[in-house]
Amino acid sequence: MQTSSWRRFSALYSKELRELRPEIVIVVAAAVLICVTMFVKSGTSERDLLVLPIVLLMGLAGFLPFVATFKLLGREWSSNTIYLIMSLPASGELILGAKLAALISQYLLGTLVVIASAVVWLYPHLPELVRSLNSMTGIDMQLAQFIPGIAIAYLLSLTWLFYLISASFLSQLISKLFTRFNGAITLIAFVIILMLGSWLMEISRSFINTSSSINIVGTDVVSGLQQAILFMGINSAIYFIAAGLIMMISILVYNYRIEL
Amino acid sequence: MIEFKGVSKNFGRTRALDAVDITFATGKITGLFGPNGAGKSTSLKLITGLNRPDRGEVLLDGRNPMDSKVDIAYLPEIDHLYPWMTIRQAASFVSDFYGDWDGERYKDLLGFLGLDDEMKIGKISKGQRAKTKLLLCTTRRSRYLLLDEPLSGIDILTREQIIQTLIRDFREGEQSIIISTHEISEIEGLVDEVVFLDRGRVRLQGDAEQLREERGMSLVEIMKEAFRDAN
Repeated sequence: MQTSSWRRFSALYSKELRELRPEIVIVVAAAVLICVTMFVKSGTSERDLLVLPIVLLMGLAGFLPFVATFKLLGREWSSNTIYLIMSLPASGELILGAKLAALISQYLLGTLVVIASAVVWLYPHLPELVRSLNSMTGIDMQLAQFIPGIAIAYLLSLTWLFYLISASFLSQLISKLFTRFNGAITLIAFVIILMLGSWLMEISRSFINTSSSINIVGTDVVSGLQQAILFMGINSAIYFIAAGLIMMISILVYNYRIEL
Repeated sequence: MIEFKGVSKNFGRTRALDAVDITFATGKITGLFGPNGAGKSTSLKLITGLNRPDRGEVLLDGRNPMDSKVDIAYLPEIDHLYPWMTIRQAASFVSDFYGDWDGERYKDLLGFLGLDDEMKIGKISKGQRAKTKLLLCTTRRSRYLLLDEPLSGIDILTREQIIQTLIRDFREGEQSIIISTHEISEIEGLVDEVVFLDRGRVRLQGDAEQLREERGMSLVEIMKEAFRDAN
């Protein structure tokens, strides 16, 4: 008798999150430390210097989930836990899906905590920032007008991550079909998958006939912003479809080709 | 019933199994014997669906192994549990996949094997890890229990406990156990049927008691004789 798919997925997802706990704790702890420092140094010029660690932490929060893809899947083989995973009544959809969900959760948690600390840092500077933007563009813009653009840029970063995770899973699984040179095969397969993906996406973009040149100058800033949002939205959709296809191939390889 | 029908399996140039036909009877304990490299672990991995045959087919009650994973409890020779988990966490993780997990039996076996479920798997001895693997397999009321070298590198007292656990919890007529080992003398009294493998081929198979009576020898001696004749 088999338990429900949801229960099996939850068990796998919780296990993956536990594996990622050290990286999540590092990012969250660093963000909390930055916020505490901001409050301690409020009203001093030293507070402004905290922008650098925030930017670095944002990079780290975005980059760590990608690095962790190699840890989550590769470690199953190096620690022999793949014997347990593959003997479980769980298909590739559940196993890779749980890993993907945990990595996306790590990204969301890390980046949102860092964004929150960036907002805390930015808050006293907001009027000054809006003034400089308005003087640069020559029109009276409200901060709220930038929010859809920021949201869609975040969505685009999320689909990039999905794309990179899928490519990483597929390249690692391909390398497991060989008995030797796994590291080199993973690297080569990863580069080839990215190149093929980029090529297919270029074809899609030209098919959709979207302009990649956006002109955000002078009074045309509103339409420029709309154009940028449209461009990022289409790119998000293309990356999402490409990532989904690569993930499906990864699942097929796991279900039908992987052996121990 | 588990059937191997003309099963061959190669790993590169190495032939692990060569057109093997075996039937593992339902409700019995079968000893899968042979020296290192005989194809014992490969046979178990084929039943579990961790390997696929190059030729022939493996069937569990007429079904593909990939569709029968829920009925199988598999104990591999290597340590396959997450070292950061405690025994309780590992049990909770495994129980989420199987409806035949028996919580009462888990508590009973934990005490019988002398394990504390707050023990971290990465920090316990080899013998305790072996007992933990056995605990996770035998807590389930699985239809098939596959044990790959369960006594390998284990001290004599722990071996005794493992064998006692198997005897205690075996559900005759209902559950099938396959024990792969090259340490035959340890489990000689436990098995109903035997399969002797050598270099990917079946050298001898049959009822253990019948073989002993017919030849007037122990299973260890029968295996030695079978392999001597083959060479």
